[in-house]
Amino acid sequence: MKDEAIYRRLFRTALLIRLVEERIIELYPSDKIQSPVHLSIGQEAVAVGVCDGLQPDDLVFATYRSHGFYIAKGGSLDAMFAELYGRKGGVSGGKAGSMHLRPRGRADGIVGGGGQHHPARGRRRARASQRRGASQVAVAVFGDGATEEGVYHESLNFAALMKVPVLFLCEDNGLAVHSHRPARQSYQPGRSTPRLVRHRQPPAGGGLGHAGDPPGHPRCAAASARRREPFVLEIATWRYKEHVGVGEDFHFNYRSASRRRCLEARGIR
Amino acid sequence: MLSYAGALLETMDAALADHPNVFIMGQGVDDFKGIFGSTTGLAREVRRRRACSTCR
Repeated sequence: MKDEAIYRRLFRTALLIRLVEERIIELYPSDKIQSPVHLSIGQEAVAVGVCDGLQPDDLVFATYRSHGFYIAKGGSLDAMFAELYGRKGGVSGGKAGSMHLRPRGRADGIVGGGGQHHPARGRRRARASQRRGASQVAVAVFGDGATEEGVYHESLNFAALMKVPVLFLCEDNGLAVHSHRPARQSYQPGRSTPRLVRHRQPPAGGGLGHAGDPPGHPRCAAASARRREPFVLEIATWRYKEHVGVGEDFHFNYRSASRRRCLEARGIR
Repeated sequence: MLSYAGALLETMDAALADHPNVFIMGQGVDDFKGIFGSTTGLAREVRRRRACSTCR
C-alpha cells in the first residue's frame, strides 16, 4: 500500500462495518431485533472499496445484504439500529427492517431488498438522472445469482446502447442462498454479457487498497460510468456467516470452512 | 398435529410417489432447509429428476 492514509481510512470503515455486524450478533438473541439480518461479514471490503470511489450524490442500490453499503455510504448508525428495532426513528420509520435501509430525502440513496432486480432498478434510476442532465452515477449491486436473470442481460444491453451512467457491481460470493455456482450457471463469470467495459477482481483484496488505480479499480469504474460508459465490476468475495441470521453454517455441510481457515492463515479475519 | 408445512410436504411426497408425471420445480426445492420444512427430502437421489431447484 503506497498511501497509508487511504488505507487507514478504508480499513477504519471496514472495521466499523465488522463491529456493527458483530454487535448485531450479540444483540440478536435478545429478540429486540425483529428483522431478519443478512450480515456483511467477509464482504466489507467490496462496499468500502466501491463507495470510496463515489461522489456524495451518487446512488447505491444494494441487496438485502446491505449493511456494509449503508455504512460505507455514510448512513447514520442511530437510524440503522432504530430501524432494526422497529422504532419510529428508524431509516424507514421502523417499518422496513434490515433489508430496506433507504434514507429518504437525501441525494445519496440506498435501497435494499432482493438482489434480482437491482440491475434494472439502478439502470432506470441512472437513466432518469441522465435525462435530467445530472452527473450522478447509480451503482446497482447484486450477487452472482442475479446474473442468471433475464433482466440482468437486458439492463446491461440497454445501458451500453443508451450510455447510461451506471456501475453494475457484482458481489460474487459463489452462492445463491445455499446453492453453489456450478449448479446454477452454465457460463463462466463475466463471459456471457453484452459488451461493456468490464473487469473482474481476483479473490484477494476485494476492492480495498489498490494503489495506482489499475483499470479495474472502483474509482476508475465509477469515473467510467460518469462518462456514460457503463461499467461491470465483478468482485470475488466470501460470506463468512450463514446466509440469513447470526450463526455459522458449516455444520450443514453445504460448504467447507477451509476457505475461511485459508484466509485466517494469511492474517485476514 | 400436522403443521401447514408438514401437510404441504406430505402431499407433495405422496404426489411424487403416486404419479410419475408430477414434477416439483422452484427456488430452493432441494435446499437442505427444505423451504421451512415444506420440501425437506423431496429431492432425494432417486427422485432428483422430478424434484429440482430452479434457483439463483
